[in-house]
Amino acid sequence: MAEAASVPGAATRRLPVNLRVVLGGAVLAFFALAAVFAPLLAPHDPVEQDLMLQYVPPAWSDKAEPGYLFGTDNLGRDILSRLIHGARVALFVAVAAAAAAGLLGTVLGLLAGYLGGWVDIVISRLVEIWMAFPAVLLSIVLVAVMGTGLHSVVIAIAVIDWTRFCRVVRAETMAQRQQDYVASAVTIGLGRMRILWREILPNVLPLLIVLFTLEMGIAVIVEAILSYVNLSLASDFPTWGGMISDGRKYVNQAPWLMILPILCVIALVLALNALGDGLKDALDPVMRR
Amino acid sequence: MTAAPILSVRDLHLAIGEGGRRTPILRGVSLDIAPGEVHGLVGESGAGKTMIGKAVLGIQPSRARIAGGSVTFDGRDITRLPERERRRLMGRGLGLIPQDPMTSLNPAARIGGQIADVLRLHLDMDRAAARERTLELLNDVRIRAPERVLRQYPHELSGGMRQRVLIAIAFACRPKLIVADEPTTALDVTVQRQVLALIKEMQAQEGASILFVTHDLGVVAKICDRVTVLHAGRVLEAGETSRIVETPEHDYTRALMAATPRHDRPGDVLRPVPEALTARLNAEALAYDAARASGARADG
Repeated sequence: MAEAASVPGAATRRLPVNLRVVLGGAVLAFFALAAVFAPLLAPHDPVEQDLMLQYVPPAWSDKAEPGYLFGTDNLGRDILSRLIHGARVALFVAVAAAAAAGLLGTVLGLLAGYLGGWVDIVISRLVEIWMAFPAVLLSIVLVAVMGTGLHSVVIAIAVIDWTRFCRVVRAETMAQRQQDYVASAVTIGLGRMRILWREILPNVLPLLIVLFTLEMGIAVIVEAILSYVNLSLASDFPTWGGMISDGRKYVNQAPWLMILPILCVIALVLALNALGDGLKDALDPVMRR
Repeated sequence: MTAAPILSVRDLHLAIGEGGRRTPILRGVSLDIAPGEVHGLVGESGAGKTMIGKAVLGIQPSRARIAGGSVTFDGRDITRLPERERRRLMGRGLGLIPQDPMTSLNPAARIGGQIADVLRLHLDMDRAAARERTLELLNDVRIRAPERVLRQYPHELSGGMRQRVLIAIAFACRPKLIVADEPTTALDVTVQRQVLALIKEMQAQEGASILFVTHDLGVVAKICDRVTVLHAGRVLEAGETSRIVETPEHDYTRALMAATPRHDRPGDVLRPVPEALTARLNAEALAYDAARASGARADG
């Protein structure tokens, strides 16, 4: 039994680590290019309505219209263009929220892990209290209080998810602090803050890269949730969550309205998770050396 | 000994833990090191020899408390020095050659930067001057192609090379005293001799004193001027190396000698330290603790 159970794990472990990094990176790059060059790539204006061309099905259907690869929605807006512009929102939120959460969590995690004592007690208890709140509810409350808009979404995600970074960075900092090279740094007379930033932080960096990638995936989902409940951007602006929400009403006539943005979310989040996991394995031996 | 000692440890007591669960590690250790002297500190695992080295550098673990005595370096008691001044002394007046070269360099920084850090911190060197001195140091510790090593990371170097780099860091600011904490234990036997010779040579060149912590009397005989023999945190015997090696006075020193291979007497059978002797010494140490505790009660 134990042997049989270990086989699948062993098989995936034998997969070349770089495959996940390469595939995840490629999909991420694909979405990133779409996001950056959205105005050039999108065949139509994403908010332009054409009531003569409602519910045009995707190109593989026999009722398709030329020029509308993924069809149109209930207001005759081009789905492809809206998906491309939606990638902009998704990736901007992913990068900004992961960066903000990472910055906050890393600074607090480094301080807690390195200084220990009451600093560690205060920060650790704060993390525990924070994590007791249900994340999605908290984010909805936060956005409701701050008002809708991209900056509120970014702040809400950062305010909730800094604890992920904080906990992991704290643990890793505690492990690094015990290392001989830190003792050596003390014996040559380096100050505490200098040891923390110059000696320990570079050794925690591989871990941060992994966490950052995984956090981007989480941020994409949270942004989709918030725009699904109409707490992100104004509803005519294309976001994937908003498109899923709009499409839900017409799922019987035009299922592609909902399916296509869902596929985008899944593809991007999968890519980010694969990239994060792949990087974790790829960077691990470097970290442990 | 005519000159004033550079390092003077007086009646040093150190214990780990608090209150009733306190374990004494050092039981009134005293030793003096003269300028330019290489002083060996020998004993088995757990004798407290590394702890003395750490106390001298002020890097004893936080749960270890100095319960009495003093460590005077260059006229100042470093156990009572404010943090800021102690830090200025580290690397400048005092250096460390650590036990394990594999883990004692920052894995994420280039060799050149790690050596230059000490120079720039203590000697106010600019980038170019620090680089020049770094190259000079790498040359001194016999590293070939120093320009290349400067740009390499620790994992690209062998253990022996890394220990040479750490020796360069220890000697970088020309400190007056270097603590060498079993500097050859983690190395290959073949590399050990080279590193030992290098330490001796750098010491002679720079005129530094060395507190050489080791469990190996063979190493002591090779490079130390004087020796202190330690067991269970107590000094059992101290003196000139030649005297200790030729005519050891304490039973324990004799037992240690009998347990050490000697190249001048290759036929000798090696004998471990007798258990009865260890038991006797441990009993003495506990008796010492008891006497000290009742003495403290009488005083208080």
